Amino acid sequence: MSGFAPVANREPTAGMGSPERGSDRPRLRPYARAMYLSFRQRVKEQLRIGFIIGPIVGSTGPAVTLAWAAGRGDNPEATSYVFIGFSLYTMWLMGIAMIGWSLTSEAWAGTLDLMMTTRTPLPLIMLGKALGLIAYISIPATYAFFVVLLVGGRTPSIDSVPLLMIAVVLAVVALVATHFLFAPLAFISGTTAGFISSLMPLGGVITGFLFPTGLLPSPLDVFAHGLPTSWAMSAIVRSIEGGAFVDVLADWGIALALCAVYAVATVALFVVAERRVRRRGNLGTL
Amino acid sequence: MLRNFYIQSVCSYKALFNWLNWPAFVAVIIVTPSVYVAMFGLMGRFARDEATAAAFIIGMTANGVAQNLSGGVIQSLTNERYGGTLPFLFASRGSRLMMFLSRGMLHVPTAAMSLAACLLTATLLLGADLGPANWTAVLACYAMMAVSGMCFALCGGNLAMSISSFNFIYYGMMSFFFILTGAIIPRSELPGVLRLAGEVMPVTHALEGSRKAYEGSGIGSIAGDIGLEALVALGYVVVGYAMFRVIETFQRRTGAYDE
Repeated sequence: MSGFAPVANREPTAGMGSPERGSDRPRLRPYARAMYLSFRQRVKEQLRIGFIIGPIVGSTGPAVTLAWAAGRGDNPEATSYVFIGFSLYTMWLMGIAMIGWSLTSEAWAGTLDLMMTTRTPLPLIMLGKALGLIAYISIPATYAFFVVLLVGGRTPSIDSVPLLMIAVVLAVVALVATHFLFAPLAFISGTTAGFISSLMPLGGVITGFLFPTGLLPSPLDVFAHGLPTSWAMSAIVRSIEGGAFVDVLADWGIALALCAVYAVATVALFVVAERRVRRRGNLGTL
Repeated sequence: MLRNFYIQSVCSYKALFNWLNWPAFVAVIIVTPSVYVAMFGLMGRFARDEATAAAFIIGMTANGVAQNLSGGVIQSLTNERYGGTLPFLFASRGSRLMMFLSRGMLHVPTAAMSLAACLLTATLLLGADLGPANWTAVLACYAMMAVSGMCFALCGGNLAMSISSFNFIYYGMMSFFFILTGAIIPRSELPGVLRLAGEVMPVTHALEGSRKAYEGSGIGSIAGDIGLEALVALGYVVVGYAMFRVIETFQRRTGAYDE
């Protein structure tokens, strides 16, 4: 939180809740600085040995078993999926819980009040924090990647490393877009722990990280295709197995388009959440 | 005495079990184990073949029974500490063995709901063929898994009362269940030490029995597996109860109920 005050102090005062008022230019630098400080605050908060060891211990069992299941099988495509997909699945598991609860947690902690009095839009602050969480989550995800490599016993031959790297970055973007939607959604719906908890393992089935969504029964397959993660993962597998570049591009295009839709929906939900809190006047006491 | 045991079981279950509200209960007890069954079943089908998928499904139904039950029991013991009721527990003159066992008792029926959800997922979503199963034997195996899972969780839950880290202990136990019990990785493929560790894990022996029972074996031919599972459960009760008393003695001596 400490990062937001300097932004407010250094810039000329505009109307609360409408930072562009009184200025022709969008105030991108202060926003970027606020986002960066939010990011840093969240990373510093999470970088404790207990917060790192717990997820590492928790991801070991599924990593070992899934790597064994895929690595000792006859289907090389399964290895291509689990090779990268398990790390992304680990990010899903932790991210959906931590980012999904982030806004509600701010309200419970009483820090939402402070965020709403700064001139930086709430979604930007929360996005900075979400990226901080993703940076933290990447530690157990990296660990899971090495466990999968070790236990799986074989690595897929990668057709295009640059394409794979771009595809992985895009998959992380897809993850952030999906997780971030749940921050205002969980807050508005006043949902209990169970709602988010059920989404955690469900990610193993519907995100397409561990196997093609085509294996799912039709209704679930349709639902899975509405997630940018399934398209992003499809691009990862194509870049490993040497799929046509046009197909990889198409996957990226659809994934990015879905990310954009999610982003718009997320901002709209943040607006609803903020309006509701202001109207009710119950800052931090929801 | 039985009435006291019943009251303690009910009260501790209602007061200390965080997932005892419908959204959390459905998500954690019903949805989560079902999703794991689906995830590993589909992975088995994708990476290997139908037979492997069926083996994974049976393994994950067993894990589904024990894992969530363990979570509930460990949570109850953790909450004794967080809720500040531990000093009262240790100050009372009641039977310590009764206190210890009552913290896990009502989580056993909860495990039955997880099992039902897992089996429904296996048959309806994954189309698993459970036709040849001898259901009496299968259910006997699952019941034994639930009991031994509870005893294991009570034993491990002692750690939650003393080192205050639910997540670390719960996720650690989950990893043990995944790797050591033979649910996914056949124990014959585990390195020697891990194979040995699997021998004393809950679920392991009853799971072997349940695999035979799913193929039609009767209760007589799996009695040995059930007996071994019961022995493992008894071992955890003995060790767990001893730990419980040691922790009580230590905390009485140091007055450190929250450190």
